[in-house]
Amino acid sequence: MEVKVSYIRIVNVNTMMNGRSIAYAVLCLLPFLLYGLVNTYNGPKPTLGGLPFFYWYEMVLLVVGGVLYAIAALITRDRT
Amino acid sequence: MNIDYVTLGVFIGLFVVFVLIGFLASRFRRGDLSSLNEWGLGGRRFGALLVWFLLGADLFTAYTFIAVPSGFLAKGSLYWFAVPYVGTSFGVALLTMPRLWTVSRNRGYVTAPDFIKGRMNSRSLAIAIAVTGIAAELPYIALQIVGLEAVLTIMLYGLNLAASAHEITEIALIVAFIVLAAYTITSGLRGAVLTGVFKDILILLTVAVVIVVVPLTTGGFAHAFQQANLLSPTVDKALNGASAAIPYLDLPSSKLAAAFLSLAIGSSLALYLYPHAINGALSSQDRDKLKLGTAILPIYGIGLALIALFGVLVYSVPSALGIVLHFKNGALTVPALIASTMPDWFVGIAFLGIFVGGLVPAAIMAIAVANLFVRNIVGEFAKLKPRTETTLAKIISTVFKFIALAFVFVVPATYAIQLQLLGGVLIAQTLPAVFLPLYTNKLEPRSTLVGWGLGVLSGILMELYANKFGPLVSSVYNTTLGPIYIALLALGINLLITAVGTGVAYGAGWRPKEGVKNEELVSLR
Repeated sequence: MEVKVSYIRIVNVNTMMNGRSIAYAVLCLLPFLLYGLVNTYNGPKPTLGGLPFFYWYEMVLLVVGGVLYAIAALITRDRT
Repeated sequence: MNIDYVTLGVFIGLFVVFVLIGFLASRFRRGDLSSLNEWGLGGRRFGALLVWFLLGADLFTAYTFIAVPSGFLAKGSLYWFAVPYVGTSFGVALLTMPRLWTVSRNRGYVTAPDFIKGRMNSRSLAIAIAVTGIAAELPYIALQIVGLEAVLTIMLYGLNLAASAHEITEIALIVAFIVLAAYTITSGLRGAVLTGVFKDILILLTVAVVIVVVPLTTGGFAHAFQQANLLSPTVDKALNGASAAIPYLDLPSSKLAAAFLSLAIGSSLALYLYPHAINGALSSQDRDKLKLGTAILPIYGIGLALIALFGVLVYSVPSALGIVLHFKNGALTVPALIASTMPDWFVGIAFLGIFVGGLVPAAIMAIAVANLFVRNIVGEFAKLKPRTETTLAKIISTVFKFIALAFVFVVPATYAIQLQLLGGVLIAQTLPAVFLPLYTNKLEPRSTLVGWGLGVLSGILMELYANKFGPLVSSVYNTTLGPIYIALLALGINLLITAVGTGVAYGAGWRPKEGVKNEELVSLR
């Protein structure tokens, strides 16, 4: 009985870790996709504070990337 | 220009503080500094914030202050690739460094070649990767020195010492390097990380103030972009020897977009293959701190992006632009802009920030190179006592700084960024050997070695052809898709050979040896 319970627990932990690992990888690679679609931001308009779209959008993506990475780091913490 | 003896006084005063921090750092989280683990990895006792500062110190360097704005001024929007580079590289880091950190903690590794030797059972591949790491760091260290020179050039010009500027710059650089070598020897990575904190505080202050003051006092970004549109042919003439308009608003053609994206992705894949970046990641105290410290690094990217824009802001400050044109040197963009818009004492702070912004990374890089050289090259041929190992690492780190110092005199300063891109071409060739074994043990080492060799060779050949065997001004190679960053092209060749070779070896009956187990990459023993 004891053995069976611990076996089930291990399986659960593993599937949970797999789900999280996939989410982790996706979150880490998402900025590549966002920056990779150059046509979505390659243009001067609309400007923000005089800055062409091309520049300020990519700076916004830096913040977005930081948030995505932080989520990735937090959902896979060793200690809770 | 607002440079006088107050500027010089502030500069020297802060430099003295910097040096004191460097020497006193040996007392920080004290350890036995005659051990390589303590000297070269800070005893692996750095928390999330210090990891952030240490890795950030690699980012806020002369690359940020001098090379990117210079390239941006000279070539326009293409050089904004540095922003997507920074934005994506930490994703690569998060996918690789926690695994490398874990296996290194399990097995006592200090460098990437240590890991390759254990995982792939190949001494020759480990040595090849170590040699590449060392070679790729050299141009990157040289780039830092271009930054130091740029600050000194403007300082001496402002003090009306331009006539003897050459001699004074050389003496100042040598003095700075002796001081740097002295505190690196006594404090190791601890010295680098604590002076890195000091440096980043000065830099963040400088960026925050300048980026508000300059646009406000000169009519904003809209005005700067207008002026750029008007005056760019003059700049093109002085820096590139042509007289076309330089595109700043966006990427005007799909070919330029291809170059932009390939430079960003190539640089991003390369960053965490550099020995100094791996060294920084491995010095973390635990895995959570490494992940969190890395995750928030894109914040530094905002600073980098803002500083890059100085390459356009300089157009609305005629005196600063005049200096750049006078010296025909884009590397002077940021120092000239600061000297033309800020009060004298603040110029002293900012200049010292940029100056140590080159020195600290040079120290971190030299420490990483020394770790590699001693453990993975000398150590492969001679058995060293721990104390001898550390002493040798200290000597090597000093020697490499001075070799890099010599390197500087052969590259046009405006294209200093090419030094970093050249380093990227070389270091990217270590990707199959360093990153892939973190996920699979099915790479055949000899194929990986041949892939590496042909990657490096083709990379160097393409660099030579792209620059017509002349001075280094380009790192892209023309393909049917447009100009593509050579690091990626050579990496493609490298990966193809590694994959085909491994397939052939499998067919011939080769099977992976049981070395480092997969579990050792993900969980601590």
